[in-house]
Amino acid sequence: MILIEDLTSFVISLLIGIIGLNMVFFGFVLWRRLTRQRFFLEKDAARECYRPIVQALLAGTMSTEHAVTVLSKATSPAEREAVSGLLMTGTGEGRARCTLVHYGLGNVEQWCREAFGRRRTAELLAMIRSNQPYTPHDRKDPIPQRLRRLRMHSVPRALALDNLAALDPEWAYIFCTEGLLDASQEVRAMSIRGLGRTRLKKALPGLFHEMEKCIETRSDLSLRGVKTALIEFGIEDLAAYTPYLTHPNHRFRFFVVDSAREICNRAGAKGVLNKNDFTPEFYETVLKSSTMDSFADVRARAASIIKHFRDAGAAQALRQLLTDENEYVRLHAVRACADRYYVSLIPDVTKLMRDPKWRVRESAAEALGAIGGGLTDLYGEFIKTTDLYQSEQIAEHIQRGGLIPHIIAELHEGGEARKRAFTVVQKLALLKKTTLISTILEAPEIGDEVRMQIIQALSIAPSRPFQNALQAILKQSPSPALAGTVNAALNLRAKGGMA
Amino acid sequence: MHTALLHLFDYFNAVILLYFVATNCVYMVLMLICLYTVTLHSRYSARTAVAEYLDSPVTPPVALLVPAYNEQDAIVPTIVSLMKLNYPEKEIIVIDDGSTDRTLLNVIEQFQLLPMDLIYRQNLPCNGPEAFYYSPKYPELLVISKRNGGKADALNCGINMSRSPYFCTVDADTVIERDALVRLMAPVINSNVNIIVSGGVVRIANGCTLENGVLKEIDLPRSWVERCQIVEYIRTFLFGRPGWNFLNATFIASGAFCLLHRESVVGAGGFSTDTVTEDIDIIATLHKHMRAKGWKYRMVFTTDPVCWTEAPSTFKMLAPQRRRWQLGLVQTVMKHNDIIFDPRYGMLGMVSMPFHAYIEAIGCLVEAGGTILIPFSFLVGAMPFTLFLLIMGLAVGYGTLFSLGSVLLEEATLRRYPKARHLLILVLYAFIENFGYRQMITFYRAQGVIRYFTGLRGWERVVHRGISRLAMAKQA
Repeated sequence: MILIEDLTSFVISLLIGIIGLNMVFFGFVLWRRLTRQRFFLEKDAARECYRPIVQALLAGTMSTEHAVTVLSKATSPAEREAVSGLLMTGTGEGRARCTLVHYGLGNVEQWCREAFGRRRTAELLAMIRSNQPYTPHDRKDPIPQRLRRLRMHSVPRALALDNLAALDPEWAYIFCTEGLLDASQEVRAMSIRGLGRTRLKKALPGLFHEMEKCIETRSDLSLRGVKTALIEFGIEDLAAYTPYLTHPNHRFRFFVVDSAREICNRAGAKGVLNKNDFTPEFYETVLKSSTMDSFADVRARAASIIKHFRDAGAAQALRQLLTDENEYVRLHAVRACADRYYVSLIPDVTKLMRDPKWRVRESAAEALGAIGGGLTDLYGEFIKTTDLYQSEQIAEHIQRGGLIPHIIAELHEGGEARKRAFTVVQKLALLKKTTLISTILEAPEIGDEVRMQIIQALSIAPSRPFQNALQAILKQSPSPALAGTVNAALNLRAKGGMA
Repeated sequence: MHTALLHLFDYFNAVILLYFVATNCVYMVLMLICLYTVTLHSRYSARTAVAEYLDSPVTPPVALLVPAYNEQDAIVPTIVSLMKLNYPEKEIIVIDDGSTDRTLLNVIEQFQLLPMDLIYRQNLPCNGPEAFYYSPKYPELLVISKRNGGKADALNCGINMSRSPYFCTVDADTVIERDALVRLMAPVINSNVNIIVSGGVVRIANGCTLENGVLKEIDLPRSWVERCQIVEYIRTFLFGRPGWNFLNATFIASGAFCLLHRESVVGAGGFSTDTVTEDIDIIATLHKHMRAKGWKYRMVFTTDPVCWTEAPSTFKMLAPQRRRWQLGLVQTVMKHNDIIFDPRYGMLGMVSMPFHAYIEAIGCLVEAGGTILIPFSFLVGAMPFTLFLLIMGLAVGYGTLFSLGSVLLEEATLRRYPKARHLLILVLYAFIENFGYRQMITFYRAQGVIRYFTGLRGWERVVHRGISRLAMAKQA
């Protein structure tokens, strides 16, 4: 048996090795801290020094040649990084000028070499210089793909490509398209992101092709990543999506419609859209084809696009989708109706308050609330329905949606509104959803008259929170009338009226 | 008799040597892997388009589940920090697990919550809610009050109430960095395989200054117990877990800050109450569930999402925490021991699980035995002084190496400790922790194992001072 003492010489050498390694680590930690500190100080100084130059370049008051001459004085890694960072801030025409400066400084060539190698760099830059369209190469890669995929090699390529993707869109398009041929998933992910950021229509076929590969599980890229790139495009680019809306693969159609939906929603958040914001082809295809699609998810997502059309055709299509056999289609259709434009659909949405699926009912309640005038229908449906699930759903919406103050306001109003609000409170009592309204009842600010009405309404089925609220009111020295109502309600409980 | 005893010592010393070699070999491999992967990940993730994810509709909604039991001092700053997270769509569900202090009242008062009767469907078993508190003013926040049932029970209740496809477990005494949640979600967005678990780094907040739920200033605490824990956490999160993640053999994710796929967790039956570390148990349960269903999945651990939590400041507070962790680990490996050496589980079954079972869970008994017996062998003359010194030197050398390696990784990647003084203190404590701290931790862990075998399996509560109080103390 080998004992520890037999291993003394081995242990000694091991110990020396460990101590040596410890010293190396310690030295590296200190060296790293010192050099990084120096690096960042230098970078900050360079940024301050060269910022006016880049600003002048972006403003167009300095020529690219002059900028290259001045900025080429930045030679240390920190200075070069600072200058690159400043040049990346350009947009529009400024971005084009910055790209030329990057090229003049040799950054483009350096990044390109890191990403694609020396030989291919020459070819790609020649394409750009001569304004030729991108053409892929057909040479066999001498380096094994497995080696290329190693993060040690792929991360520097991905980072270089990320820099290239920030150049002028026409340049970035060529580099990112080339990047799609890379063996590494990380590099291709950067390419996809870059292609999205170019927002060039010619990038769309490539992106759709990648999406197709993802759907058919022929790619290791993330479908979410491709979709993120696709929704970088604007509503004016949606015309280019039209041919893909009728693709034979149903999952592909779904992702195309879904991406279009996201684009519309994003544009819709900035301003109200209508039919005229879309091309006739896109409008027709969505309205005629996507709403009739054999795949329910396509129909569902189409509803969210249609709502932005805001015309009679859209209302008709939504009405049809509200009665779809698939619950998700109904769900998306009812959500799409949550817009004041679709007041005409209130009766159709109200019908969905009786939907067998709770999510649809919940969305119908929310939609009626959002439509505005729909609240009357919401309360009406709440009073009328005998379905427990539906009642619970509306009760939840009344509480979470902050509608209790609205009900109290209606109790103040008088007439039909008061009668309706009174019945709503009674229904809440019957459903034992009285905790919130009982808490509000304790607040003297709502006025004695309304409090008495609430007490009368809740007395139909007195709950524990209601009883506690009554006790709390009595401690507030209420007016004789209110005290009388409270005592009457408490007596009712004493006679066994507790729900 | 004396000779027999010496032979016994020799044999035991051989076992210790074997344990020592096995453990340090694995740690060495993990360290090398981590030096490689963490550095590359850091470079790559620096370019991760956090802003794009925040703006992107493909970023899935997340429910942040915060189980709280008697956390009156910590809960409000935690919720404030969660509200300030940069994330497009999130719901914050605080589950008050029958607190006997002012936890619930503090939250209600701070956020002006109103009691409501909301719809609740029991998908996972748990003690049902007694009340819901909500305010339209803070639509993201929902507070559930329920009868005490333990952390797992509270989490199940939160899952039942959540609606998002992913949920993130957050401890009530934890402050999450602003971009941490979106960084935790980044692997989910970028993966072509269903990511069911995504874990992030937990750091110690002791000594730091907190203002309005945001970490204002990072500093080191004064007590050496806390400082040793800082080095220990850096070691665990920078070269333990990323290493296992690289091998696709994640077995532990910290429940203080962990993202999980709701549907998978519900399918696996939710968090189990039969272990005291529900966060370790759920990982093994999910592995089994997903393999049984034959679904493709991945569990990832990334080093850029960071959260800060309060650590015990004295040995008295530290002991119950470590005993519980160890007890939970032993319970979990015993519960899921069918995974050990099962080739169907790949690296998890063949490497990670055996390592966690034999080295991390049970092995601490050998370590504790060694801590006592090696000096004892020397004292009774069974070991020559030079050899004793060599072994001690080796133990300290290795311990320092791994800690120093992780401090190096911290410096090369996250660089959360800004001052040079911090760095020097961390380096110093990478060395100091080998004298007393590690031995104490080993004994607490051994106690945890003994508790398992003796049937004392209850939850020992760790008393916290509270993050807000820490911050105030610091400011004072």
